[in-house]
Amino acid sequence: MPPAPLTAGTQLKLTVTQPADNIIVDTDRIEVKGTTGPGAVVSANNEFATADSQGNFAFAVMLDEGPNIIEVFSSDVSGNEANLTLTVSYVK
Amino acid sequence: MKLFRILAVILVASLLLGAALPALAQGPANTDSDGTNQLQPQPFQKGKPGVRPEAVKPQLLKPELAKFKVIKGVVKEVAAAKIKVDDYELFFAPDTAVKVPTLSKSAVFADIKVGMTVIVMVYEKDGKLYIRHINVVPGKPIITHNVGTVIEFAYDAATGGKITIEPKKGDNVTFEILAGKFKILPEGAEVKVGSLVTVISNRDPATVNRLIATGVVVHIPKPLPVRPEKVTGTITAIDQTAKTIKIGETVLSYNEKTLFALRGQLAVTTGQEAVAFCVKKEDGTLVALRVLVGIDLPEVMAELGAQLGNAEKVRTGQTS
Repeated sequence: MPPAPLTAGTQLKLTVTQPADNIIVDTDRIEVKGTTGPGAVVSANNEFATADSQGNFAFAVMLDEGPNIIEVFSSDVSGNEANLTLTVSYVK
Repeated sequence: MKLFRILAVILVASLLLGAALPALAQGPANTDSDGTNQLQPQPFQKGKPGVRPEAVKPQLLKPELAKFKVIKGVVKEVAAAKIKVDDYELFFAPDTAVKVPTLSKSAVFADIKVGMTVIVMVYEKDGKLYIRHINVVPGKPIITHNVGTVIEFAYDAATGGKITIEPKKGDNVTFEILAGKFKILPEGAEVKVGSLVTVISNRDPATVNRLIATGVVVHIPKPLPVRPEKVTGTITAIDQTAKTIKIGETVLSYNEKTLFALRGQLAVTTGQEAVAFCVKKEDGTLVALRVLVGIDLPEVMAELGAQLGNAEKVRTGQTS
């Protein structure tokens, strides 16, 4: 059974469906996917994107070797914010 | 001979079954849609000090990754070559990598202090947990989003620059932009004074007040729906070459999209009563969208309302 997606936020919802928290991967690039408010700005580490009209977002982040903190941050133009922190470990 | 064949078949079958069973016992490999090999989350179960935590058997494509586990916790004790993170006693090894975000230099074991929150990747050897990587978790979020109106922007890909915004609340904020490390979304959007933007910034952990913008999202306002203007009066002139129609003293242009509706007449001529709905172009000229000739709009609306009312009665079965 896949791990449940992480969800945060009250005024602005943020759900990260991928990657799962505490996951270990063997590639240095991982795609962050999820949903938030339509048109919201979503960033993780040094990457960012805008959610589409349905609130879906997806973008890739690079990983350093070892454990990485992926801080996913979402905000809308009204100033509402939501954030989640995941740990993704990269083993060469 | 027949007995020999039966024995051979049994031997081959048992060999094949023996090879397949361990793979089946390990479970299906977990390959992500992008081909990434991923382990399911494997948090350690917290136990008493010195007790080896029970770990869930991972589903792996690469079994060699199974030796690594990840622990997140607070450093409780620091000794010569080991630390205690929550209830786990973890040992440093010659290849232990240490990362402390507030240090510009390469971090070492001595930089790990009691009270720090850390994420540790460990492996087990001879009944002990050895640290492969230990990263200190910053106390405050590193990334911030700042919504505001641009009051100053200067950027050159070769030299960098700065952006200052006026937030909806609070004082103006200025962000540094490092050369070559700045992205603007949507692609092709222009950042200019007056633009409503979200600035994505990193707080430099080494210098608390230094804000570095890594990108900007320009919020392009949706164009307001244009409310058509209404022109009512007598048609006083028509110019089919210039494609204009004059209602009273107002000249309107028309085009292939203009819809003319006439009641009881075959053509538009001067002297007819007309109602035109039009929009104003940037140069101030009016373009007709709809021209109703010989049509009393309130009367039509009343007729339409009556027809709709009757249709509703039919739909709901209220006809007498």
